Amino acid sequence: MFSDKDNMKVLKLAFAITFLLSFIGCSRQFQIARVVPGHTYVDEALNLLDEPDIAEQSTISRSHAVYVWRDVTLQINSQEVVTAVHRKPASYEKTLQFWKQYYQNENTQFKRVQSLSKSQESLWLFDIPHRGMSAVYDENIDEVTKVILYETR
Amino acid sequence: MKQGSKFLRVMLKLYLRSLKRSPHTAAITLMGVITFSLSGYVTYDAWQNHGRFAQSTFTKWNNLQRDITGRNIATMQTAQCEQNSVDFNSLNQEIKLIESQFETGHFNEGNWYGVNFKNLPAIQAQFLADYGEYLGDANTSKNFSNCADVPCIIGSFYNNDREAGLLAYYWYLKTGSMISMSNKIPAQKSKYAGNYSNQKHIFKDYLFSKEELKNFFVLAKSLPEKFLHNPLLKSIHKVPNNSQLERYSRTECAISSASGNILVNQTCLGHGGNTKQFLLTLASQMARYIDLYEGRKIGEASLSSSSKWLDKSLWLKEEFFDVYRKNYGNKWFSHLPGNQFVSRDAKTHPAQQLAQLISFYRFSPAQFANNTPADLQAFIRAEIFNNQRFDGNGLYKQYITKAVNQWSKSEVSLWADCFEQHLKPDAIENSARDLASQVDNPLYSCVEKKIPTFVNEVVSSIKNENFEGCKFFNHKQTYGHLSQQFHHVLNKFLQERILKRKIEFQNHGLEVLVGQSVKHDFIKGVDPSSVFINCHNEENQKNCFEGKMLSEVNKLLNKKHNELSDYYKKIIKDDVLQLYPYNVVARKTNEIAKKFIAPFYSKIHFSASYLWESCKEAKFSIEKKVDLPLKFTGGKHFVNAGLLNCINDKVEEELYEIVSLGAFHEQDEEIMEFKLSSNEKEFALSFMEGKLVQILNNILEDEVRLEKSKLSQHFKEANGKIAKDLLEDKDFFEDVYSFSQVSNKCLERVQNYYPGKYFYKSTAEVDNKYGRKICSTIIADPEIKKNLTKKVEDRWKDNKELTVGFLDAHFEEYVDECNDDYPVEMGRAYMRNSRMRKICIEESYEIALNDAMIEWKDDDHYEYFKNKESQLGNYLFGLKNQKVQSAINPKKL
Repeated sequence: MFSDKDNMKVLKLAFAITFLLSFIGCSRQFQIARVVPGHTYVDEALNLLDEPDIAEQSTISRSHAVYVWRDVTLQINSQEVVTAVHRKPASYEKTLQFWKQYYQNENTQFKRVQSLSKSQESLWLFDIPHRGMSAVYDENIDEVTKVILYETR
Repeated sequence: MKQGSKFLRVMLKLYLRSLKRSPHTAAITLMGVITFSLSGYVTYDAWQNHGRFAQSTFTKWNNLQRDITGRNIATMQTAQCEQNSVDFNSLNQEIKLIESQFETGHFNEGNWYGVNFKNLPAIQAQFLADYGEYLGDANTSKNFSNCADVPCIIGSFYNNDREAGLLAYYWYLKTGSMISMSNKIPAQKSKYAGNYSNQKHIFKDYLFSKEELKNFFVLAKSLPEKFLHNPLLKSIHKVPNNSQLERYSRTECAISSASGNILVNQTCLGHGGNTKQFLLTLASQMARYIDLYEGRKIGEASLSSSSKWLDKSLWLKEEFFDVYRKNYGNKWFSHLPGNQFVSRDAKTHPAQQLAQLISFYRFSPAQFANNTPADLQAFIRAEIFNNQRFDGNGLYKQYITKAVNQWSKSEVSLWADCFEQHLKPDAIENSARDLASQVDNPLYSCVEKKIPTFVNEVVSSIKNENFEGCKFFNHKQTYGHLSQQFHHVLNKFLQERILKRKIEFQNHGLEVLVGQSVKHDFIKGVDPSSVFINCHNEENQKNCFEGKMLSEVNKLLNKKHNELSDYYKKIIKDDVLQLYPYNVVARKTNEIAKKFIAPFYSKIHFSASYLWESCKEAKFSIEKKVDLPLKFTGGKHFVNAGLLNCINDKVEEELYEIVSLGAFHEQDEEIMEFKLSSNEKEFALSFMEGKLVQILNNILEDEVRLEKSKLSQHFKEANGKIAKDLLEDKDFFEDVYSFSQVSNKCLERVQNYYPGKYFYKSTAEVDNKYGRKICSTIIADPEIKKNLTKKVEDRWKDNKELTVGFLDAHFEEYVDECNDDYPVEMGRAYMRNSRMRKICIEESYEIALNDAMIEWKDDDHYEYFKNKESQLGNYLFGLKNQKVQSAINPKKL
């Protein structure tokens, strides 16, 4: 049978695990991952991510609003549903080669993004349609600058 | 001998006995051990630190080159007083001077279109080896055997105008990049030279005019250190006949590509000798590479994409992803007011803003000052220009600081000369007392007499070393008041310094002489470049540099501990530390190191090619996974993981080998070798790594193009053979169930005909681009298609019959059960049983159908017809009435 001392050890371990799990569960990345394009409504997203730094109508698509945080941007449609999540890439995702290798056996598209006049930007989009995921690659600095998760239909 | 060793053994025993018994002997032994250990440590430390900050290899090499060339070109005047007039005699001399600075004892071997590398100065051979591809009409054969040097070769494109050749070659020597003289633009759409933006052009349309080459000369003369020998900038190309830049909008007239090429058309270059526009355009394009290079130093992709810049410049990006069209778009917004930008272009993007600010800071300082917030001005000044300024007041400050600094260094020798003349060593103490009391002692007038010569020398060196230097002292209208102020302030400063020394003599007597000797020892013994290089890897380089310089002064002062008061020590310390300001040392060290390293760049070319080829020869594998993180990423191309890992594994090793080579100089039949220390190697690698990665990227671009055409050719040739082999294989079309099955089966067969190695496409990409295409062509053949259709139909029919068989068996069982449960009995239950039996049979059919489908899924046929599951279900359901009726009324059938 377990002694009191053993029980105490188990209790401490349980507390530590609970603390660790709640820490992970409350972490920002975990909250961002809970925003699912096509399913999450704007109020649910706000509950998860707090108030945005900027919330305004998109100047690129008038039918959408964009909610901008320091680390993530949400696209919201007129039905108040999140249609796309733009997040920063994790360190291993910053190399385009990672995407090309990891998804080499899947249906992907790699196309040049129309750049803004005079900006000299040279952006490319690596799209994996059936996963609802895209990576924006900046050729000038040889780095994936954004990962976009979007609703799939 | 035997007696000797016996004596030693006896003595040792006696000693050990005494050690055990006498505490006195033990204490003496312990002290002996401690003394021995400490002296060992001190000796080791002294050996380690001996000459720690004595001259760095870069400085030694630079000094040697300066001494050699100084003798040869002592009378050279390189001051550029008028922008548009180039003194070609001076230019010739300066080119010789710079060429000699690149002589590191390494030679390129070989021949380039009739020119033997051995007959050329090393840097000219390197120029041809590295940039030969950008020289000449790519559509005609080349022969330059009548040329003895590079200016002649370049001049031959300008109707044998050697001056044009000198100007273009001078640009290369100063900046390490190339003004293209080729009719092939990098990454152009057409594979034919002379064809750009869907138009044909003659070779001459690709050449910069001589006036433009003069502007390049002006630019080369005036660019600060960070612009020069940037390893990421490769070449500058003129787009012919003001054509639109391919892949860019009509409004774009100059771009800098990721592969190190600047493309520019006439709109940006300015017409009618608009030098300012030319300078601003080129400098801003070059600044894009400074942005990348400086960014990498702080571990970011570029300076302009780092939070360091974005937070200061208040940029915010709005992005949008069109979920339906799968399009991405973005817009940058800056929260700075509209009048806080130096140009319209600067408003479009943070990288553009940074590049424009760098360019305007240098070539349009007034506009920069008026249209840039103070904190951004400070950022650019500190981060890019080492606090150098180029407006009138900035130039004045630069030059006066240089003069003061120069005096600080020269003062020791000037005073020493006069001491020698007026102080006798045996009566120094008495003389010092005299000096203190006599204001008109000849010693002071001796030093004062040296002032005019010193001022002339300083002004002359400022004119020679600074682009605006000559204008500053000669253009009375623009800088008259400032140059007057310069002379006035400098003379006053020098008088004050002499007076200060007089007062010091009065107050501190002999200490002044000791101070002078400390300063002299410091100048001779400490190389600031060496200290700077030692701090290269530190987070705060400036603090590290200043800390180490201070510790070096302290070491010298400690040696004179008894001869100096604490108060005067502090005076000496301040005086000595002023000799080498951090910014000046950083700039100078980078300049020297870049020149030292430049000749090794051609070795990087060879190394990169060798690396690539050796890795390609290694075992090819499509199973391997890439090992992140990667130094060489492969850019936007897929690269076989095995190849990529191999290259990345060898990158550092190759670079270390290159920097281990060192430089050589032969003098008086003796070979002097300049090998880098480990710290210097680290420093040199910081310049080389980016260059190697860029060269690897260039190789990759060529390799991708080559493999694409090879694959295309391979499949073109294999196509007929694959089709023939398949058609002749009777078995291949035997086991046919569906078109998709045939297609997959075909792909498996076609994969046997793939080339053994392909590095820049994944197997899935090769399947999609070639394999499936070949299969669909074969399957689309009318005869084959007809046969296949018939076979597929027959198989489908078989499949249906098989499932109907399963259905019938299950249904029969259920019908029997229904007949048992509700038998045909005449009497009262007849009607009820009849009704219930019918319901039971009807329901049983659906259960049987379900069972039949389950059984079908276990059958081999399922694999081939699983995509037709619902079609099969509908077919079986369509049989329901017929089957149910026959089960209810078996006799009727």
